[in-house]
Amino acid sequence: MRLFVSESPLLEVHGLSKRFRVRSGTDRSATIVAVEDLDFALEHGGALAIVGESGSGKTTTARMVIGLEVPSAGSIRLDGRPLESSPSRRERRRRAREIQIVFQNPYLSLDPRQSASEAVEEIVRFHFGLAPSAARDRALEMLTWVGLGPKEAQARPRQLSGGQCQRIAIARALAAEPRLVVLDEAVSALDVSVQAQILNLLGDLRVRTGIAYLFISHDLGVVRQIADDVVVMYRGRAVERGRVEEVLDRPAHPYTQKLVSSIPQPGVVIPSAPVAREDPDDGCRFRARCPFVFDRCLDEPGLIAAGPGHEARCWLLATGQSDASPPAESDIAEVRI
Amino acid sequence: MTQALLALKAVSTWIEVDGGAKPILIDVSFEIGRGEIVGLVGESGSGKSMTARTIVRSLPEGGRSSGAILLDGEDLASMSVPALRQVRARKVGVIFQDPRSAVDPLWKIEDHLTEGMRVHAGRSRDEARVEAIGLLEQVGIHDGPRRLSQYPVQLSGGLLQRVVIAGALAGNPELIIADEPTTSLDVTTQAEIVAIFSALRRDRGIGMLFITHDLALAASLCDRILVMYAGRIVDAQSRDGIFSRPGHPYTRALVGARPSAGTRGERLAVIPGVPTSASDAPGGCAFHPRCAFAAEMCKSQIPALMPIDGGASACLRIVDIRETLRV
Amino acid sequence: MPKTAIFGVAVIVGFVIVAALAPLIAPYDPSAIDLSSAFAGPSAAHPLGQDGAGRDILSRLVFGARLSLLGPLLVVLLATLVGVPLGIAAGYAGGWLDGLLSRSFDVVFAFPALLLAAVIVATFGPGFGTIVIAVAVIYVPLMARVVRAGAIVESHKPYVDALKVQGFGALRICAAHIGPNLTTLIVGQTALYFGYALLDLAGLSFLGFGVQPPTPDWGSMLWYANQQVYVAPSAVVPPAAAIVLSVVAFNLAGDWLSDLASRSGRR
Repeated sequence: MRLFVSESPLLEVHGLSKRFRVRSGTDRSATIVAVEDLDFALEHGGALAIVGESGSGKTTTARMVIGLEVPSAGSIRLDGRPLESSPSRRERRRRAREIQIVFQNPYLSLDPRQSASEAVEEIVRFHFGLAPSAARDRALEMLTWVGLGPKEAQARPRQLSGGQCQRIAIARALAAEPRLVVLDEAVSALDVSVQAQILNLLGDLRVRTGIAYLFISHDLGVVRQIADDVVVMYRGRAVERGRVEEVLDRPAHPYTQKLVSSIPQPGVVIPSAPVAREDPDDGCRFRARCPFVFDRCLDEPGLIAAGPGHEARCWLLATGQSDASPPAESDIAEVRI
Repeated sequence: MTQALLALKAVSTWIEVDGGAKPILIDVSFEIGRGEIVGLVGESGSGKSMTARTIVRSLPEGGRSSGAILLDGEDLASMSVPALRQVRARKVGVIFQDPRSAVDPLWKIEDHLTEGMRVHAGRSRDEARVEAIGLLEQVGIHDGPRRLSQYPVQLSGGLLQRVVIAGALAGNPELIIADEPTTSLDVTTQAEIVAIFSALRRDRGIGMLFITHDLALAASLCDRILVMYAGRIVDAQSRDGIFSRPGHPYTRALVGARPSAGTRGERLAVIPGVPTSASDAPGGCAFHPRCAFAAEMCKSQIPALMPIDGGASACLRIVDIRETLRV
Repeated sequence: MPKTAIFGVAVIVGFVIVAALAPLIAPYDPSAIDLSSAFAGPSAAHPLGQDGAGRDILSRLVFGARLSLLGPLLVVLLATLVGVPLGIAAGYAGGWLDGLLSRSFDVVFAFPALLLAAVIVATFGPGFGTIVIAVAVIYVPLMARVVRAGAIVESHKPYVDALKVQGFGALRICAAHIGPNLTTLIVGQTALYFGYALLDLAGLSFLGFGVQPPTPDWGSMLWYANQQVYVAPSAVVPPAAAIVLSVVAFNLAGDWLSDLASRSGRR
């Protein structure tokens, strides 16, 4: 177990932005804002979840942290040290010893021609210069850490299940001995019963190694299980953040409330909202879908305190407006069938 | 007793491969009443999607099925292809998981929606257009004229799935079969689509077979839930029953494995092993290698669906288990 | 193994043996001239007849197998050795490199193959080496384009991202990961190209650009026989039949190989 006596957080992101220039038929050079002005911090050994739906920018954020995308603005700091936005190969190699990633698709994130052992050996040899036999031993050791035996170690991805492939991906990520692993929807493609196994594994590994997780997900149930803190993103912006229980039990932002209420409950169906007009490009990006919209929403709010360590980007929280608690049951008009 | 809208009796499906038959579904029987929404829940290999394909007789190369599939009393399994086509156009609407592969990307939305109307029901172009706008209203799209002239690529996944649902409604079906209709959509969109289905049942009395891997999702919408494992139905419960007194150990385990079911920081109750398909199933009860309650007899005997306590479960030890857990 | 593939492979093996053991199999010296028997038809001593210079056609066919099979082999080798790396580079790198390479390929494709070959022959003079190069010039971009498409698909898979994250260089990723994953594709292509290259080379020889007499080669035999087709029509048949047979054999064997390879690649 690693112990860190450190003042600065392990990972700190300030003003992170990513804009894509898109050249499509009619729109000559439209700009797509994937991520705008994002701040968050992850403590050593902590677990932070970034939650959002499609278009939220959560995957782009993960890719910027890992160095696969170049930020348009903002900084990423590891242990207080800023990371280069366009890392050279040598810089990437150094960074790989600190930050690793597990992707969503268990099969496509492994080289189909490599056995499980070969995939892990390659990492180990590259980062630690071990001789082939030593590398093989280390690879087998890592694979047992993730619950795979010698038989699976010789197998290729297509001979294994999704859950087993994801275990290989986790072993490969851990092989470089990083301090942070980014998990980009790492359990979303797995069956429910297998998801549970992998979540347990991740929890155990964290206890065992003191590693930190940056968990990207759209699934609030999974987030509740594995994360300590959460950042909710909508259209590239952080709209709420705080401790996981706080945000999920007492969501302050109307979008978070919508997310939470969308979790299926037995016998409860929320009446369908008419299909929204396109989201606006200014002011509060959520206002076209927000049940509480009022005139102030034409200006984009900053992050406003909703409780200790809990903030949301919503004018409702500014003093003098209505209170921040989620609407009463009668307001949502649940339909019990 | 009114006749069931859809009744499957001892339906089995297999794929003929050189040198034998690979089983997919084994002895599946259930009914859907008029205006009833029945959920079919299972993981990979359970056979849930193949059930849908068997009903509409859209099996892959080498697929065969046996047993009766009665829609309003008529056996779909023994119908001729032209007759089947009529049925698929008028009585049954089908919705699949990926809306983008259900629509021709080169066709405008209007063409997609009105093709059936003009070909099967002989409507004129203008009549069909008006009907199409009406269908879009029903799925919550109120700027119909604008959407009709758009192409699928211009619509988001959620919007496109609504269009697909509108298309399924075009023939005024009595039954909708939806195979994982919300799996590729955002969770907020999913909630909206589920609401549309609920409204369709309430306003138009449309019955539905809702196929999903998400037990909680099924419970939010469906009146009854059937759980499938390795090609068989292993549990049939009402919506309330599935969480309060799940019968089959597999259902129980599924309920326990959901991340939201656990308490933060504690390990989730896990089902060891991986879900199996009918062709890979071991002898006896297919679930026995993973079952916490497995006994000697479970290795050799195949359990049949037994009615118990308002539901039905296919488990040899169901009575013992219930007594032990005092459910 | 399907019957067609068995046939294909058998024919290929047969021809290769014939080519290798040519001195032992051929009844006569393929260059032995006997002007008194010019254009003689098939006879007991010369089962396939004699050509315009009295040379035994059967012996020329047997010896001709050597160049006729070596040619396509060299073309395919060149296409693979040059085309595959170019294709992978273009597919993986994208951007300006891809633009440059793809446009270069397009330039080659813009020329009718025959015209290109004619230019090369005019520059370097006719001969075996020249036509091999001329045909290879066409097949390199062909292979590169197909490999590029495969490389693009592979490059977008998350495992490549995972490798980049480690700090692996582009060369290592392409050579150790993307290339090996494209072997299915490449093998399928080489099998296909063998037959067509044989045809192309024979065609060029037929036009007089290739191997010059007295060196035996099926394509140039066809050219020679064609010159004298009114005098000795039967002389056209043996080389034509050999060419057709081998192209069919390579296509059949190649189809089977591609099938095999793609089936093993699929889950």
